[in-house]
Amino acid sequence: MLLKLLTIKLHFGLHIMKKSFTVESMDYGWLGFGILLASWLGVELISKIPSQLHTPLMSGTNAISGITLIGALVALAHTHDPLTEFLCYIGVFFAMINVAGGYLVTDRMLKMFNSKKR
Amino acid sequence: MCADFIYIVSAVLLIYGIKLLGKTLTARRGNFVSAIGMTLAILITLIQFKPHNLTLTFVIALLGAYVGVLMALKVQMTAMPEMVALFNGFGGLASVSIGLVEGIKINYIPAIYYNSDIFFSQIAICLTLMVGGVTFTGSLIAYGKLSQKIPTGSITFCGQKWVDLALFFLLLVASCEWIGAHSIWAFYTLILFGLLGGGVFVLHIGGGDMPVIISLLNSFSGIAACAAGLIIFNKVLIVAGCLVGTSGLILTLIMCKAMNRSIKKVLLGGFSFKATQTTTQKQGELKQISIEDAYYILEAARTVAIVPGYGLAVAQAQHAVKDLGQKLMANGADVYYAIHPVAGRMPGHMNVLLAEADVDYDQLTELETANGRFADTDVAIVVGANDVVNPAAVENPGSPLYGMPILEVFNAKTVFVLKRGQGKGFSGLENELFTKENTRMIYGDAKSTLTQLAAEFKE
Repeated sequence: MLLKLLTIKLHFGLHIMKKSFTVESMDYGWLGFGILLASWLGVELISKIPSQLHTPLMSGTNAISGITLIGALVALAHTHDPLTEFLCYIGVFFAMINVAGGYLVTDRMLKMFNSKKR
Repeated sequence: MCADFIYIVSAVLLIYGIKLLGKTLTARRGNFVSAIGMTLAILITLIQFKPHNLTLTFVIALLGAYVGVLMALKVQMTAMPEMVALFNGFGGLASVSIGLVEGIKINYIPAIYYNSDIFFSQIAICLTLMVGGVTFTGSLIAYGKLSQKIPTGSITFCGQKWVDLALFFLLLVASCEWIGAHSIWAFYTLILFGLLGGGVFVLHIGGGDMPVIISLLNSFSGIAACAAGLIIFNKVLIVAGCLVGTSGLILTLIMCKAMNRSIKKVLLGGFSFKATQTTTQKQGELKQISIEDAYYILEAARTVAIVPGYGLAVAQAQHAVKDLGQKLMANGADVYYAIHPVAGRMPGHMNVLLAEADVDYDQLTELETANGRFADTDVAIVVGANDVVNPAAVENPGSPLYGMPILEVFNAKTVFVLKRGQGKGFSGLENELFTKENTRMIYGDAKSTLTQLAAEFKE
C-alpha cells in the first residue's frame, strides 16, 4: 500500500521535474494531486503509533518542518538588496536552529528508549 | 534534472524516516534516515541556488546549528515540551521571513518577479504569513506557559470571542486588500495581525490542554512550510510540509480522543467553571500520612502501582521513583507503572522520563491494562498526577472532565498521593480522589519524599 503510494508519488515527481523553476504557469492539477497524496501519506503513517512514541514523533516531525530552511535559501538566491537579504539570513538562522536542535533532541530521547532494549 | 532527482530521493528518505519513527525498535534509525534526507535536500539547494555570499550563508547556518545543538544538549528531559515548542516557533519564524521577503519583492519589483502567476504567489504568501505568524507567536506563548514564565491557566477577558473573530476577519480583509489592490499597508497589517493572532489564540488555552496545542502548532509549522514551498515552487518543501501538517493534525486528534475533549472545546479554551463549582463540594477531609507509616504499608504490599504525572517532571523525580520501584521489587512486590496517554505536558512525556531513568520497558502499563489491574493492587502511588486520576471523570456528570478516560486508581486498596501542596490540578478542578476513604496524602517535594521512602527500605 505504502509502496504503491510511493511509486505514484515518483511518477508525479517525474512529471513536473521537466519544468524549470521559473515556470510560466505551473500545472496546478498536478500540484493539488501531489499535495493530496502527501497529506494522505501523513495520515497513513501516523494512524497506528504506540503512545510512548508520541513525544519523539512530535519532535521528529518538528525537525522536518525546519525544511523551510530550503525556502529561505532559495529566496536568498533570488535576492539582491540588503534588506531582504538580511531577512533571508534571519530565516536561515532560525530554521537551522529548528533543524539541528530538533534532530538532536529527538535522537537524545530515542537513545534512552533504545538503551534499555538490550 | 539531477537536482530534481535528488529532491525526490530526499523526499523518499523523509517519508521513510517518519515510517521508521513509528516503531520503537527502528525509531532512532528513522530519525537518522530523515536527517540524511534533510541534509541531502539542503546541500542540493545550496548547489542549485548558489547564494551570492556563500561564506556568509555558511557562517550564519553554522551559527544557527551551533545554537540549536547547544540548546538540544543542555535541555533537561523534563523540559522537553517547552523545548519542542520553542524549536517549533523558530520554524514558524523562518517561514514568516520567507513570506516577508517574497512579499517585499512583489511589492517593490513586481516586473521582474520570477513567477509570472503573481496572483497564485500572493495567495501562498498570505497563507505563509498567517500560519507562520500564528505558529511563531503561539509557540512562544506555549513555551512561556510550559516553562511557567507566564501564568499557566487559561487567560480570558471579556469579549474574547469577538476579539478573535475580529482578528480573523481583519486578516481576511487585509489579504484580499493586498491581493486585489496591491496595497502595501495591507501587507504589513497582515503580518502584524498574523503575529497578534497566534498570541491571543494560545493565551486563552488552559495549561492542561498544552499537549494538544503543541501538537497542533507543530502541524501548523508544517502547513507554513508547505505554503512557503508553494511560493517558491519547491517540491520537497511542499511534500515535507504537507506530511508534517497532516501527521501533526492526526496526532492532535489522537490526543484529543485520549482526553475525551473535542478539538473545538480545546480551541475555544477554558472550562466552563460555573457549572463545576456548584456541583463539586468538598466531601471529606484530606488525610495525611507520615513517611514512616507509608513505609509500613508499602512493605506489606504485594502489588504496587506507580502513577506518574507532571509533578514527577517538575520534581525531576524519575530516578528517585525508579529507585523506590527497585527497592519494592527487591522486597518481593510486583511493581508496575500506570501511564496515562496525556500525563505530563506532552503525549508520551512520562515514557520519555521513565526511559531516561532506565525503567524496565515491561513494567510500563497502558491505560486499559492498568485499569484492569487496580482492583488487585495493594498500593497505588500517585506521583504528581492530578486530572488524569480524578474520579469526577467517571462519577460526576457535571464535571468538565466527565467522560475523559482516567486511571481508576481509587479502585486500589490504598492510594498514596504525593503532592507539593494543597493546590488544584492544572485544570483548576477539585480532585475528589484526595478526600476518598482509602487515600492518604504525603505533602512535600516528590523527589525527597521518594528518596526518604526508599531510604526506609535500606534499614
